[in-house]
Amino acid sequence: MSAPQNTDKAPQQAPHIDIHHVARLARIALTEAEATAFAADLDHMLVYFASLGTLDLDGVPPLTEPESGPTLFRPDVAGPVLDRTEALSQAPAHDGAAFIVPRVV
Amino acid sequence: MTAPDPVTLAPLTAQATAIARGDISVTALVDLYLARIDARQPTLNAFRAVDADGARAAAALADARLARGEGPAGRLFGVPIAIKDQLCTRGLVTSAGSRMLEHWRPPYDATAVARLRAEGAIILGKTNQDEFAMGSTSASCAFGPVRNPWDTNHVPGGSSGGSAAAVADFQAAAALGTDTGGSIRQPASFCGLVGIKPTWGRVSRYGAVAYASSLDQIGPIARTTADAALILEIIAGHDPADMGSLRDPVPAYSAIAAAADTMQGLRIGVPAELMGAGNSPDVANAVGEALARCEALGATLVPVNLPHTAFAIQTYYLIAMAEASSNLARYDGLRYGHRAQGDLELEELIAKTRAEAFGPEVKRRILLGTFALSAGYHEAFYGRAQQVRTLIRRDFDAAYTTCDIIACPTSPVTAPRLGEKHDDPLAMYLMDIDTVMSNLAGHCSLSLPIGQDGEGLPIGLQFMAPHLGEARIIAAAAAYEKHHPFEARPTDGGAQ
Repeated sequence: MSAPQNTDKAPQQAPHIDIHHVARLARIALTEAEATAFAADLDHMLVYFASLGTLDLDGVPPLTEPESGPTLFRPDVAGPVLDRTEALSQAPAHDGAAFIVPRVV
Repeated sequence: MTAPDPVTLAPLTAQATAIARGDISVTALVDLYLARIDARQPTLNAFRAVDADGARAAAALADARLARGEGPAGRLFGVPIAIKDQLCTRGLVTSAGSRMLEHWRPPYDATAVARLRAEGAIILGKTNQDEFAMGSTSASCAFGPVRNPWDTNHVPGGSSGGSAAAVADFQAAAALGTDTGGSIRQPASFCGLVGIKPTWGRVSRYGAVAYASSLDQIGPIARTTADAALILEIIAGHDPADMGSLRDPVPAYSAIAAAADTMQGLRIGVPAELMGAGNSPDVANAVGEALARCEALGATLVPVNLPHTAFAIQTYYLIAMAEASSNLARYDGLRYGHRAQGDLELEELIAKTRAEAFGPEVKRRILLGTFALSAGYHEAFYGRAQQVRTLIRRDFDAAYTTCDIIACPTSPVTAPRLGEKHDDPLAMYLMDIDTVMSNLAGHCSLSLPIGQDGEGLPIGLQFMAPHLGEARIIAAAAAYEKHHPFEARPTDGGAQ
């Protein structure tokens, strides 16, 4: 199922959330009861959040982080890394060298 | 029942002095705290995990050093501190209040924790909190709700409620919390304590389980401004492990607190938008009286406006939830933490793992954050929120041309009853109106206790300052506290 399209810059009305689509994007399996409850919660919240659409934001840049200075680099020198054994020590499943997970490809 | 020992009632700085003078051994002090924790845990549930063995071992080493005549090492030598469960502590369970990390033991300390240890602090354990720092009550903790020492029918606030409850109940000399939208200041306010949210980047976020990276900060929760100032001085400063970490030198906050005695010449901005009918009568009266005391200490009150206050909650929650949906994507059951059982394909495994281990509030925020970032809606919701964030920052910039700090309530209400507003998440979010704007702007802010409501529940006054303005708010709070100390204490089980 494709995402509902809203190419408007300002949300003039709160959209109705497609909770199953969003849950798939978020990788969370919801029960039907959860889906119903969360859909209602989020629809209610989106009505409130959509009030941002009443503001004139032409020419206002986004503030993506509080302080944006130059990117700071360190010397390209290898340093201490997390020990493999320690990294695997709390893995749900491992073979001593790598994490064991379901087939990816 | 183990009532708090008198030595544990003293500020942290006094306890450090007592140890240095030999009035009490580190082991004896740690044992007093551990006994208090043991006695009060069933009632308040402040702690997630207590490291009694580790604390006693560290205490023994400290006492051995003193016995050898080497003197204390560090400004917090022998002082027992509690750490919010959101912060990594090497080898000690760190769950961020969630089943997802129920058994996880980090392989490293958060930088803030490491700096406390380097100054001789004894880590007592990890405190309970709202799951992944998402909440304002500490009731959405996977390991049970935390209760307020002032009245156990009420919440301690959140998300750093366990840290606040522990300090207010004399189970720790001080604590660390995290603050993304008020999670240090609001529980400090609800529990009669001082809490500081530093300027974004002032304290390294390395080792803080990420909630919303452009908003998160680590800070102290303590009984006095002087205590909070000392902890901030220790944990602040550049850390190459945090790319947002500021390189500016750290002022001597503890000396600033010690020297502060007046508000002469201080201009305190009072924003009309946060002083209105939304505040409970008790909060409004207490804040009004506190501001009058500030004037009596030499401050000038200046009316200011923050015109985009009405959009702050929407802006904060859209940004926080969007960033959280990204940060919490790492919890997939593949490398650490909870993993769902069964013969499952990869995507099924991930979805089921997250369904099983996240609580409802975390799911709600991830879902809304995911929506706000999704195709077709990203620009209308997340994008606009980032633009309104600029307007909020500009509001503060304009206000600070006429004042040095801004004062307002830390919360429009005192601590709600446990379970109140639980069924209305948006009503809970609206309680954060006083605190979120400081996070959005990246500025610093502090809460100090100024009184109690008719039920004896504490009320907090918030001081806000611009970028790297910690010295201003610490000086103001310390001066206020010197002339109007908050001396009320919770009695076990109810309000005094």
